[in-house]
This record gives sequence, structure tokens and C-alpha cells, in this order.
Amino acid sequence: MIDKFNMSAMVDTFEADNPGKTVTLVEYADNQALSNFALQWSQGESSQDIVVTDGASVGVQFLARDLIVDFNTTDFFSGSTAKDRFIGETLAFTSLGDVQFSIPIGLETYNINANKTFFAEAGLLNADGTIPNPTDWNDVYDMAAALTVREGGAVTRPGMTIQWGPNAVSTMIAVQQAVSGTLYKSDGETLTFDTPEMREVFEIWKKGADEGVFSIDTFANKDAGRSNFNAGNLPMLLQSVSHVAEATPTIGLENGAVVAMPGSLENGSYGFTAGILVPTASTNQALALQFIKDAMMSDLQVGVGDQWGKLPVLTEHFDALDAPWRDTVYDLVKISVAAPMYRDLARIQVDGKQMLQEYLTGAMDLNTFVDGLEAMIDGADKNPL
Amino acid sequence: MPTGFFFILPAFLFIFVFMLYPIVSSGYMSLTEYNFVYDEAPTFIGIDNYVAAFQDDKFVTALTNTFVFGISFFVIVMLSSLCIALLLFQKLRFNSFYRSAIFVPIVVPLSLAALIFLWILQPNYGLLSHVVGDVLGWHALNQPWLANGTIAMIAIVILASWASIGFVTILFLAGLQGISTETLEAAEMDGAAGFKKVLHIILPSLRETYVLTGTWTIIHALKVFVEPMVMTDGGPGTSTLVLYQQVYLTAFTYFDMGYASAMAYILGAIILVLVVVNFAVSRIKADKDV
Repeated sequence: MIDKFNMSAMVDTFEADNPGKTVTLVEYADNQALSNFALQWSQGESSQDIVVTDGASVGVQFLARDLIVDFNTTDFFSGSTAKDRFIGETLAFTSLGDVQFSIPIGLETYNINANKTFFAEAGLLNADGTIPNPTDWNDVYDMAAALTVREGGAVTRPGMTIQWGPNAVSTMIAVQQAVSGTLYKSDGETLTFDTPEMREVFEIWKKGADEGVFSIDTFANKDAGRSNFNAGNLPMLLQSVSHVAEATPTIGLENGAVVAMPGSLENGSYGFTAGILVPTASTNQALALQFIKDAMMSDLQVGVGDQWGKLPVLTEHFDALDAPWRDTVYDLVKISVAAPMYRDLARIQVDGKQMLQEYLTGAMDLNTFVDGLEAMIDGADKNPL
Repeated sequence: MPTGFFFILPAFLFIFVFMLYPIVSSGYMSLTEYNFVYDEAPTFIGIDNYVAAFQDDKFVTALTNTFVFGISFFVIVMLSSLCIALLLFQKLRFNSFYRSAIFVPIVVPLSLAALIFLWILQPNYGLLSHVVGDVLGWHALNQPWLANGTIAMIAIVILASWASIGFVTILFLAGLQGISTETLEAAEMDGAAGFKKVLHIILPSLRETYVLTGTWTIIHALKVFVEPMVMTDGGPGTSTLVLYQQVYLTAFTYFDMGYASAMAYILGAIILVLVVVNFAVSRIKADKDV
């Protein structure tokens, strides 16, 4: 994350503008490291003044014992970082009620990353050279099937990879929101995947997985689809659309495209950002807020957006982006929704992934899968704190 | 204070701080409900976590998978290592080279080896798919190898065995070299040669080595973690989910330290029982033969 967000440049700029102040960047391996931080914070100490989390929603749990700062109680939202300068509902991705527990950085949304080269080869482009948006999931399947290459009866290149690895539930949330327009049951609080639209999608996924049209290599390697797409070996990838920007050096700027999955232009998808936290135990809170405001919210975000597809959160920087997919992604991001902030979201993500994989490999049928999924969600602790 | 006390103090401190205290502390934790992100302090709940574990499908699945892995790993490693050690015990040409070669996997970090295996098993650009499809022309056999639960478990067993056989072979070789030349020569003079010598003289003389290798292999079999974590993330589904992964998830993703400690204690108890059984079986056989 340090490289992708160009944090070294942020530090250099900040240190140059503030002589005598030193910022030390330390990279942690994965989100599990947060448990060590939280243990220290719960004892009233912190070795970090700022923590950037991959997926802002993981930060909400630390509100339970006031381990992190509520930015609404600080003077952060003033001047260049006033709330009305943030794009759309960006701040809602990292707030709970009246509490702003984290500052978003790097907007992303789940949708279809596409490589036009393969669509041109298969004669699937519109007359104006654009990729047609699929109208329903049967359309997606048909496109992927037409883009699938077989040799000796076996698939040598799948038409599409769908993120069914550790982030499978994020994919399910994205598709559920797009096809149904909501993530929740009629109570407005309970996440559900038991809708007629989503059941149909599950059936199409199973058919595609059985036939090799949708690859299942993300089961074992979450980056399999991304690596293949970036290498120019995959026509479509359903995951964060930031990979279109990431793949540009290999596939060419003119060949990368964002294709809206069915329903997402009207209903949105799953949106998320990385999040910036400040531990309440930090002894340098004022300086931490200054660093976030002056360095992390600076125009360095423009380069990050162009290169990595992690979009700036401030309107002025977003407008400075120079990428052909900018407006499409913005249209999708501004109506996308965050994952529910449940205390047991991590369990739902792990168990949901396992159940989906069992369904896709034939270990359980659709009804057992959906019923199991619903029972698991019903039994989960859905309180945020 | 006797001078001897100061000599044992460093060892005592090390054992207390890094072994005894964590064991006692996690033992107490296993009797509590404690999520350190949400809870101010642990709440004592007796043996509820232990009872809950055996009612938890995920725990039972992980335990079953751990046993499937463990039994396969134990059999393959013990038999292969013993056979290789017996071969290397012969006076072969290039014996030193063979011994070094069999030991090489030990020096490769397990996580790195798992990544290499992952690359070999990649469906699109992996070595195995290349050989099966492009070299042998059996395209129809190609598949996303690790997306099949049985193949994924076999792959994990193969990786773990590959990484361990060298070490256990060296232990067996050390045991073989401990058999006195007089015993072997006397056996040959009495007409025991070849397979007979191995069966009646060499194998029974390795009882101490069986205890050592058996204990080492049981412990490594049941504490498997890195291989499925890197190669399959416990999938597809839960087909390669092992117990320490479930403990890790519970402790560091769900922050449920009490339940995670209870699961770890159950696995620790199982390992202890199996090690004692291994020791007892070897001892009983030794007593019978005296």
C-alpha cells in the first residue's frame, strides 16, 4: 500500500514543509496485524500515530472501546478538507451514525474490468468500438463463453474470472446490489442473498464454473484473475475496476475498459476505500491530522488514481484525473454501497466464501447453499459495536 | 543463595517467560469469553468453549481434515524416510551427494516452497499444466488443480512430505549408524543377509529412532498450517481447512481469544496423547523383545 498510495512522496513533501518533523513509514503484512495494534491501543499505548487499513470498514470495530479518533470531534473537516469537498457519499463509507471513524483514501468499486483486444477478436464490439454493456447475467455468460478458448476439449483461456477467493462475499454484495437494488431484507438491516435475481446469478455462475467459462483459480490464489488480466491474458475480470488502470502498461490505455455489470448503472455496486485511522492512544494526534490533511489529501492522489485506479476522494483531485475510464467509474462509484458494518462481518466473509466455493464445486446444491448462507447471516452478530 | 541458582536462572527465566507463562495464561484464557477488541476483560465461563468446540461444524471439519492430512503425512514420511535411509546406508557411489540432495528441501523456507508449488499448480501458466497439456498433449486432463478438494489435499501432503522426508531420513540414518558393526557382521555369519537382515536385525534395532522420528512426525503432522494457508487458504470450501488455520482465524480475524485458546488446547492434548501412545508402543515392543 505504501507504493500504491505513493506514501514516500507524501512523507518527503510533509517533512520538507515541516522542518524538524519526521514521519516513519512502516508496512504491515495484512489486516491480522491490526489485532496486535488493537491489543496495544486497549492498554492505552500506541506505536502508531496513523494507521491505513485496506478496506475502511475493518476500522469500525475499534470504536467499541474508543480505540480510534472520531474525526467529527476534530477540526479536520475544514478548509481544503471540508466535507463538501469530498466526492458524492464517499465519507459515508467510513462513518457510523454521527461518527467519522476513518478518512477514506482511494475510492474503488467492484465491476467488470475488460480487455477490448479480445472483444475485437471475437467480433463483440459495438460499431463505435465500445464494449456493449450486458443487460443481464445470461448476457455476461454468453459474452464470456464467446471469449473462452478451448484446446483439445479443455479450456486454455477462460472468458472471465470472478473474484471467488477471500473477497467472494464482496463480489456477492456487489452483484446483489446491482441486480436487486438492495443488500437487505425488508427490515433494512439484515444482509440477504436470497432473492430471485441473485439465485439466478448463482445458477449462471455454477454453469459457467462447470464449463470453465468462468475460471475458479481465485479459489486458491486470490490474485490469479488480477495477474492474468494485468498480463493481458484474460478478457474479463469481475473485481475492483482499479485493475483497468493497473493493467494499462501491459494491455494499453486504449484497450482497458470498465464494463458495467447488469443493473450496476442503475443500482450501483459494492464500493469501498482504504481508510485512515488515528488511535486515541496516539500522543501526536494534532500532527497526525496535519499529515493526513496536508500530505495524504494532497494532489498526489491524482497520480495514484491514474496509475493504480484508486480514485481521489476530493473532487478537485478527481477532476484532474486524465483517464478514459474516469467518468464511467465515477458514475458507478457515486451510487455504490458499502458493506454492512456488522460485528461479525469477518465471519460472514470467511464462511460465505467457503459456502460459495462448496456450491460452485458441487459439494452442495443451490437451495442448501442459499439456505445455509441465510442461516449463517441470521445467526451472526449484526450490531456494529 | 547457592551459586548454582545463578547458573540455572537464565534457563529458568527463558522457560518461565516463553513456555510456562504462555501455557498457563492461554489455559486460563480458554476458560473465558474474551474478544479483546470489544471486551474490557475476560469473563470466566468454565468449560463452555470446549463444549462449544465439539458442537461447532467448522471445528469438527478442521479436526477431520487435520487427521486426514496427519495420517497421510505420517505414513508417507515414516515409510519413505526409512526406505531412503536404508538405501543410503548401503555403500553406494555418490553417497554423499545423495545424502546432501535428500537434505536440501530442509533449507528451503516452507512458505517459499508453498509459493513454488502454487506456481507449479497454476491452471493457466503452471508447470504441471504445461507438461500435461503442451508436452504430453493431454489437454483434457488439465484443470484448476487446487480447485479440486481431493487434489488440493494431496498437493498439501506432497509438499509437506517433500519438505520433511530429508530431515527424518537423516534421523533414521543416524539410528542405522548407531547399530554396532559386530551385530551386523554376526548376523551375516549366521546367514542373515539382504531382506532378512533388514527385517530381523536392522529394523528392530531402530526402536529408539522410531520414538524420535515418530514423535517429530506426529507433531509436524498435526500442527500443519503454512502449506494450506499459502496454497489453498483452506479451500476449496473447507476441504483443506486445518485446525491451526481455524485457531488463527478465530484469534486474529474474529479476535475471539477464549475460543481460539480452547481449540488450541484440544489440539495440544491430542498431540500429547498420540506422542505418549507412540512412546508406549515402542516401549512395549522393546520389553517384549528383551
